Amino acid sequence: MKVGLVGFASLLIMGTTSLMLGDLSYSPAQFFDALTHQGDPARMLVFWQIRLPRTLLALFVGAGLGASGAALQGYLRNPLADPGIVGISATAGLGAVAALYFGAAAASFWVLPAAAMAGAGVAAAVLLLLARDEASITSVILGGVALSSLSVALTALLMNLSPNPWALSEIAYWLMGSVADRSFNELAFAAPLVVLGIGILGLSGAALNALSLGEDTARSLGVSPARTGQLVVTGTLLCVGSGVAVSGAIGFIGLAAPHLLRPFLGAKPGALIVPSAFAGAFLLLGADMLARLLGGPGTPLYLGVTTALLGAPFFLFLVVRHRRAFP
Amino acid sequence: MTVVCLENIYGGPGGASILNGINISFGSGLTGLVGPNGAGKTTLLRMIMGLLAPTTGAVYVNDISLVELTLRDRARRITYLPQNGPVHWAMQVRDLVRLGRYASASSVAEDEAAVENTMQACAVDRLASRTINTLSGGERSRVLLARALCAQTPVVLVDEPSNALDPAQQHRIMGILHARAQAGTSVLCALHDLPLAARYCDRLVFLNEGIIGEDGAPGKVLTAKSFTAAYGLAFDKRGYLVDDK
Repeated sequence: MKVGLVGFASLLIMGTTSLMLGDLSYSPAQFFDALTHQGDPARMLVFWQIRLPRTLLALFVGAGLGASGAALQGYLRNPLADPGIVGISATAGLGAVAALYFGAAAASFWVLPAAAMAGAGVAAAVLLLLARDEASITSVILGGVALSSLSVALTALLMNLSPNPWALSEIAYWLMGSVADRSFNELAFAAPLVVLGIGILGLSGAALNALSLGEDTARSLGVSPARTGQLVVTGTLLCVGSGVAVSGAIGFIGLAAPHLLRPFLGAKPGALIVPSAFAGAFLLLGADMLARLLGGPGTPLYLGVTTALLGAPFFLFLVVRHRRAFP
Repeated sequence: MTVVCLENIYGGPGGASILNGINISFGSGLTGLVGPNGAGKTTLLRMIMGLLAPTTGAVYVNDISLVELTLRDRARRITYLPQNGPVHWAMQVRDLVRLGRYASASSVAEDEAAVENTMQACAVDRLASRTINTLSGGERSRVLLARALCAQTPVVLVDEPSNALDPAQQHRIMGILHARAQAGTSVLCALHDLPLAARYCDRLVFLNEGIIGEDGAPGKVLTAKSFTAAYGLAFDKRGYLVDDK
């Protein structure tokens, strides 16, 4: 409860800051006017049509990535795991790139997100097949790495065969990840799926705690590792698939969020899922604010680039710390 | 009274022929399962827990076949502590011990009381707020034992709990298991240390090449003959080891 309140308060402060800062800044009075549909119509428009959907989308996508990272680290019992490792991000990306490549994305708003979810669904189906037997964890990791590599290769192939530089740049920019210029359509697509996904991941919490003692002990305690794998893969599919579908590939949030919380909340994997959703939302919104502040109107800085630039050194720090803790 | 009954058990991991026709029953008390490496002790314990399915034969717990019980129902009847079981996260001792109540159908208050009582019985209550990676080998073993015992199941399976511990810690661990067995629990413990087995077990069962050998009170079965049969080592008249069989 206390964690939830702290998380909610942090997001409220961060969200308000995000809404007020940018190329067009808002004073507290202007912010309140825009919020209550009063004052300058241009400011109202920017607030409601640009700033608010962008902020909310960053919160939901970040929450999905954070919760998935915590659940995957618990399920795979690997502190270096993140949603990218199981291939769902890469296959969702491939689905979206295919929609862009074949020009289908222009037909309707829903085509690109649906294609991304379909890509993620293929990966999830393969992972569910791999997670159904006893010695599932190594199979899931290896299967995820294979899916990820294949998707990256196929994405590169589509870029290679791209008919013109404009299509290529569209794909490349999309792959860099962003929540800029998104509308409430993207939010309406992703938010329910992320919430459902976090709910499903939350159901695996107690089993993930038991899995900390290894599969044999977990089964002896009454846990079905196969069912736990199904919950984690399905939850990750919904959280990460929908996130990639509306914002492109964004790395490191899922990796970093649980690590930032462990010193404060302990290492019990099940207790980290919901707090990691808060932390992921906080981190992604922070990264988006940074991208907004550092990138100018003519040179937008993409969100995937910001998270990778901040996340890669953090990843290295984790590897070094992990090596010290468990030489 | 028979609690666990194994009928004509054959099989092993991946269908290997590790166990070759096991027929045995266990009741309350501390039963030591002894025999050389590869004899099938761990395989037998895992089959009783239901972690491995026998190729043929059946395991019964209180006259109910294991295959008729769900994972959770099994967990309410049997506890298993594997040898050198991993702990993947630096969890707090109290949280770790509480995992033993995963399948519990009791109230939260009863679960917490079981956790506290078991931590006291295993002398790990003062470590409750420490994390597992900061403990010594002996403390870690007692914490994992407390995790197993706090489930308060009628059957407890323990695989070499005193492995790699100093003599004092070995006696502490066996003392805790003995006390639990005295209270009416059926404890089946795989062991290599025969003097320790003789000191604490009510019954010893020799297992060799997947077959039950000598079976009875330690004083009756711990003979040079059974030792030679199980481990292939012979002794002279003075009791000194002479050579391979």
